[in-house]
Amino acid sequence: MTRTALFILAASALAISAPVAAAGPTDPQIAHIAYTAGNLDIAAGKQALKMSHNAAVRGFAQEMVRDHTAVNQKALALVKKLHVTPAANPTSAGLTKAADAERAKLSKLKGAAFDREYVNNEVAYHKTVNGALASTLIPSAHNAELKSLLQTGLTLFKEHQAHAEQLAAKLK
Amino acid sequence: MSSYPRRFPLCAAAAGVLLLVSPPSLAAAATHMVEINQLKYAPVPPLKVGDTVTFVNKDLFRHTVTASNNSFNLDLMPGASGSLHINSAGHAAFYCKYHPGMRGTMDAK
Repeated sequence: MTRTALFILAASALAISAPVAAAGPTDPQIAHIAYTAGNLDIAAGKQALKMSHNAAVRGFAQEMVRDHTAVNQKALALVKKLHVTPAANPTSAGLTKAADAERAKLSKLKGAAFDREYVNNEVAYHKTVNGALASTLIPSAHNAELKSLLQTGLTLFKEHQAHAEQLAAKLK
Repeated sequence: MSSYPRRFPLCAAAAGVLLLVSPPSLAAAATHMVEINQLKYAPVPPLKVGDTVTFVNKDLFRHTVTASNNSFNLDLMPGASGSLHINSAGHAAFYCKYHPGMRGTMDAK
């Protein structure tokens, strides 16, 4: 799938602009997108740990912080080993912009309303990232180790999505 | 990465999970290594009373091996391992508390 497709996918889910390009994302761009996506979910998890008093929600948030930190530490070690400098790109910027807006929205909520919004957004966020990983990022990655780490990430994030969906059903 | 092997006997609490049999097996006890990787438990081989199952977390992530009825629990950091001693026969289901989609079973005779 092309880079255009990735941007369109992100745009549809995250309301970001979609620059058109013929080639797929490069490995430095992919590394940046994956790392950014992880960092944004770590930030969301930390916000939930500050705001939520629900044990299940806090457990889930701790899981997000712990797991995404582990993946990002592995990613940092990999790009260092490969002498790759992650490259900023419109998709990373779009993810960040959408996450900033969600964080601002969550900051105005409390209690059960916060918990529901946080978990529902986690479902949507993981769906979006998993779609991008499966359809664009993994197929576009050239380096075998990067591809393998992305595949590990996809396996993990699918588990996170399922966990978030279970939790969302309980919070209804 | 360092490993922290631990041993968790399935004592009285396990009786509800693994049914007691008599007389005990005369076969030599064995130790079975079961890897955890890519958010999956490798299959646990058929067990006999007296055996030990050692779970080795080779994944990037922290996992648990938690009985569905909470009668045993191993909490394993990446690179760590933990053991269960099988002292009664029966069936046990387990899962990861952190990743509820991860599930496994073991059977002992």
